[in-house]
Amino acid sequence: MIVLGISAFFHDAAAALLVDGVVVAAAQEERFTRLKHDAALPVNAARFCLEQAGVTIAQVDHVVFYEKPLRKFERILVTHLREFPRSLPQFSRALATWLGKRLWSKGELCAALGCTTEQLLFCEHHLSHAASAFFSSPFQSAAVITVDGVGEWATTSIYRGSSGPDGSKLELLEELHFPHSIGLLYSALTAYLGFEVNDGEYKVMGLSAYGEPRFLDRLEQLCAIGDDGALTLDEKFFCFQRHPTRSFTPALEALLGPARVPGAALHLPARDEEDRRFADIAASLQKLTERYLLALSHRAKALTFERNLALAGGVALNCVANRHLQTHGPFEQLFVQPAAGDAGGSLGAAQWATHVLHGLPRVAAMRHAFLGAAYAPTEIARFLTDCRVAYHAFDSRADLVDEVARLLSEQQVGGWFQGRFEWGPRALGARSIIADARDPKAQDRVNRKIKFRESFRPFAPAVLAEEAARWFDVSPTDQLAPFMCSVVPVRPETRERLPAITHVDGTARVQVVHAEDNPAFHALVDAFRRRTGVGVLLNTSMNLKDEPLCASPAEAYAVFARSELDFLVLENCLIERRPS
Amino acid sequence: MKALAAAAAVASPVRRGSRVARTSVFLELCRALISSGRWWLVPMVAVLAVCALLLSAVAAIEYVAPFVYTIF
Amino acid sequence: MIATAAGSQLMLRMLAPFVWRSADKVASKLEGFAATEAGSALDMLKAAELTDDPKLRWLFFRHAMDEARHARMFREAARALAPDARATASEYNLIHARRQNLFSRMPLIEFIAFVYLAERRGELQFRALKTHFRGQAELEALFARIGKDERFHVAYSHKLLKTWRAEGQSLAVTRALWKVRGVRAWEAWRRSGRILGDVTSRLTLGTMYLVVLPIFVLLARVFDPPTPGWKRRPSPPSTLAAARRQF
Repeated sequence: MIVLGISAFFHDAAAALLVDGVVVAAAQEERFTRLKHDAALPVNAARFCLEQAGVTIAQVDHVVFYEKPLRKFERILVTHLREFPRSLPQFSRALATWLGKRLWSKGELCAALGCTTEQLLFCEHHLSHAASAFFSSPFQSAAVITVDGVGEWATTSIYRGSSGPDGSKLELLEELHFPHSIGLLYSALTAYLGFEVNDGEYKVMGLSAYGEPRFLDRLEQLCAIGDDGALTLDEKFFCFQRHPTRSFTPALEALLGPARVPGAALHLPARDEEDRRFADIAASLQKLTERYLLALSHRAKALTFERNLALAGGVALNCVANRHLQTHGPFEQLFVQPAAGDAGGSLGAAQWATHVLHGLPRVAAMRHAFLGAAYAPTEIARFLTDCRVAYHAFDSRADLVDEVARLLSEQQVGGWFQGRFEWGPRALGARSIIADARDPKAQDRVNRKIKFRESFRPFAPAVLAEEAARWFDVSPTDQLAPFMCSVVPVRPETRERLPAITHVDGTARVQVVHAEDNPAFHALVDAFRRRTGVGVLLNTSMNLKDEPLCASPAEAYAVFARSELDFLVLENCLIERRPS
Repeated sequence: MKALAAAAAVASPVRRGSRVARTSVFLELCRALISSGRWWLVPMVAVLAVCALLLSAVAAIEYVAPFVYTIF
Repeated sequence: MIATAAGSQLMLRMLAPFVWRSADKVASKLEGFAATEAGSALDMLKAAELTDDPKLRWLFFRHAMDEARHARMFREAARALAPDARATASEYNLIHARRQNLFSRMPLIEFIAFVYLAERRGELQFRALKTHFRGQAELEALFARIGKDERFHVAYSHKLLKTWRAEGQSLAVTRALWKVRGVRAWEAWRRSGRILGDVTSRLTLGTMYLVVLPIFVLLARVFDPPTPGWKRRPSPPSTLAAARRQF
């Protein structure tokens, strides 16, 4: 059975292909179009998935779209009626989009992908999320919580997932409806803090470590969290329901102070009262989110009595909150699929059709996220030669990693391009920028000269699985660590040795690297450990500001050429800016 | 790459965004509203259907731009 | 008319009082240029990946790097003029930031014809703008620097076309140039129509909002008042028939 899952039209369009339940390929459209968070129909991603599997669209049993468009349209109509007459600015834009394009998604999907209407299926949005978390997890049964901005109507859902000899089920237990959404509250505060919605939430999470939650009591006025974990927003503070560009009202600014101007300088640790206020608001927001997720997890536990929890939806990308859930929540194990946002909906839609609709037995849990395109060393060598780029080709991996480890130990910063690119927003050693985690100047250098991003943003470490417990407070059975979905404390006694990746609050968003899942990257980090005694590297995504992660060798070289990276490794080819 | 693009675009019979397909979408929308208890929205869908027709005409405006002032 | 130096200057003089009238407007235009350069960079990079010709690969790659650098320069200049510059780039500008996959869609001669005509127009435009902003050191230097790269792009693409003419493909080159001119003119025509179409659709829907919606607002208040808290409903059915529905 061959199933192609598709997510599109809101943000992070993606495609994922399953063959008899095995994920053969999955990729976000942005990797092909180079437009960050590209929401257009993922024609390129779908084409790649089919090519990877060696099939044509005619051979696909089902093409599954990750939401029910008409339910979404119903919500939009009803919301505009409820917000009348203030929803006028939003109405004409929304209806023009829907009447012009979105209502005809079925025909558009068929035309763009070349499938028939008989092949096309639709899965509910939160159900797609739930499936992506549950079926990628190692759990045979689990509570599943999905939390995001909004799907059709649902903003938060609780499911019970189970798999057995009779097949798999995802039973919807209860859900919260728009506009009562922790995801939209978080996005509104993201906009308030001067960052871009659907892109800046991560920055707000990093900012929170610099502040104190002294605005928590004020933020608690924005919403009520019931004893049953139900969230109710006080709508007087928000206008995302009715305004096309603004998400918060003057009432929010009256409560918290003037909003931050987008792009205004933010000096951290805070130098002035304003910077301190923004950091404290971010910290308070983080605390509120954690509190809410904890309440949700208790609710899910009470409903399901399960030991394990699978989490999905955009809010599941909040790694700090995930850690809080792991340590304070009622569940023994927590799993988050690496593309937990809307891109993951494509995977979940395909998995739901495969395992629930058709009852195919589940296959192994997701152990790695390398589901994108790979490029042959010969292709890379030819590209470099044609572009007149000097490089050195290594015949053995051992020699390559030894040389790269040497460069890193000399505080050089480089790009590491190996194998299939990652599924999800995180670089996990396939398309990474790497540096010496011991170097106190590395963070500033990489932020200012390579990534061109805000100076307060921390970098994440990659650590050998065998060494993880030595440097970090992380459990060997932690399901989140291989995918960088959790933030863990750096051991106090080791913080001084890892200044480049230790955030201001002593934590790090760690990636644990296993040899069997990530052999090339493991070999590199191990070579660095043999040279320096430290099996930890700084690892960040290979892209410049406002660009998606690079996919092809040409794009990787473009990053190298437009930044101050010292070297670039493309499979077995090493390019140095100043050859040693 | 080009061949694959061409192959991917070829399909067995596809219902593209034709008038027939659009009517069926509106009917399906009505069924959706009735199934969720929002039957009172069905007349509004009828009005929206007219709007959709008008907007299809408007979309054609981009092809006749300089002549719009004579049309309207 | 536009595709000559004199034409560009004349057009600029006519439009400058409207288009380049304030720092915010200039920033918005620069953001638009940044979007166009970024889109061009993406297309040239893709062309560099896809072509089998080593010489073309080098040319396309260098072109891509130039365009990417120009995008960054325009963006930085826009933000220096107006800190909120990103917010002022219009929706219509952002269309240009997308990759158009031109190399995959066009025969090679047509692709080079497109590059030649686009770069020549750009070069003339930037030359006119350099003259217009004489006295404003940063902007003058910006357009001078970028114009220099554009001249290289014009030169290499022109040389390729000339080579093909000399090899007996004169008719194909001429046809390609005219075809690209026609496509670009048609796109410009559609762009102006798109703006008008947007205005018209907003007027239509705005009228509908004010005239038709009120009765349904009353019905919504009676039949469908919002209720917070957890909602329970049956799990979505796991049948093919249900899955085929869009609701």
